[in-house]
Amino acid sequence: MLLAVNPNRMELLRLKRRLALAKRGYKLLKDKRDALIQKFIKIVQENLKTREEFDKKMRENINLFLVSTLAMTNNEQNAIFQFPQRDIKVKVIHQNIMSVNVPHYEMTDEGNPYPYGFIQTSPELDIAIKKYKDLIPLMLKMAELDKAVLLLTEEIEKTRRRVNALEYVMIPNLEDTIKFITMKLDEMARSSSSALMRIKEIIRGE
Amino acid sequence: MSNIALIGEREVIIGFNLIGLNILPVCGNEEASKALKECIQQQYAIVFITNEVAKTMIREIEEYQKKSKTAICILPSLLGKSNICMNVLRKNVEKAVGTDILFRNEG
Repeated sequence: MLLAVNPNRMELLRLKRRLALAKRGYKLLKDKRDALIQKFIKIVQENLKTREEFDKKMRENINLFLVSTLAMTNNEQNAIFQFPQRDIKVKVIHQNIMSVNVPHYEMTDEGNPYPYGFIQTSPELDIAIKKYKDLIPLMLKMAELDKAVLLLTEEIEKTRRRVNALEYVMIPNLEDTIKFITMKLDEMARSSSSALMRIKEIIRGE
Repeated sequence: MSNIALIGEREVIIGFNLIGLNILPVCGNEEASKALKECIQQQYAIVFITNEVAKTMIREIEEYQKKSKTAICILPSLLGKSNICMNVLRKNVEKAVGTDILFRNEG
């Protein structure tokens, strides 16, 4: 498709400059897209692996935990679980992956995870709680990777649209228009030179 | 107060309370979406949701994932193989790469 411009030398120069810029941008964006996809696949695979690991550990753990709390009444459970003495906080640090801000979580924890009497509870509960505690870093990693996948997906989609727009719309349009203007200018040059030749002939005839 | 929240069924998540996560036990769709909304408003850093609860409000979760800075993470299912998180992951991969490269080998 031709752009709506006047066929003159000024426009030609301007368009040529724009074409060079578009081509450079296209190349850069294509590189960015490829790099993003490479990173993305790596993150997705890591995500899958983390999920599998978590799944396995959690399955073992939940059974242990349910068995240990099975014999308790609701009130007893509340007495144990209602007032935790432990606190976990995460600090969000942003990492830059190919101009995408991906969060990285750093955990700080403090306090006693066993704020209950050991006489009323079974040892399984202690083990289960300990295992839960060990699960937390895995969960944080999972959340981190999930968010990264989401953010990278959006960025890749955006970049791909840009690459495609440049490759299939912008650059062909510019090239067509440049060709049109060059041909028009050549045509004008030819017509003026032939007119000159004709005028010369006429003058010579007289 | 911790800035990690956990939404799910009471029996499954109550243990995490002692570890130091903020737990929000819910039952039913309405309670769950209310809890999620609250978490987003209070600007938790991470919200974990169990698979069974996430199943009932997958659309809301996706919406919040796009809009807010909070990382919403769906935990793998403890019953059976139907994993919402995997579906979400697969959808994202398809969106990004154009084809489902994750599960290609299995099918």
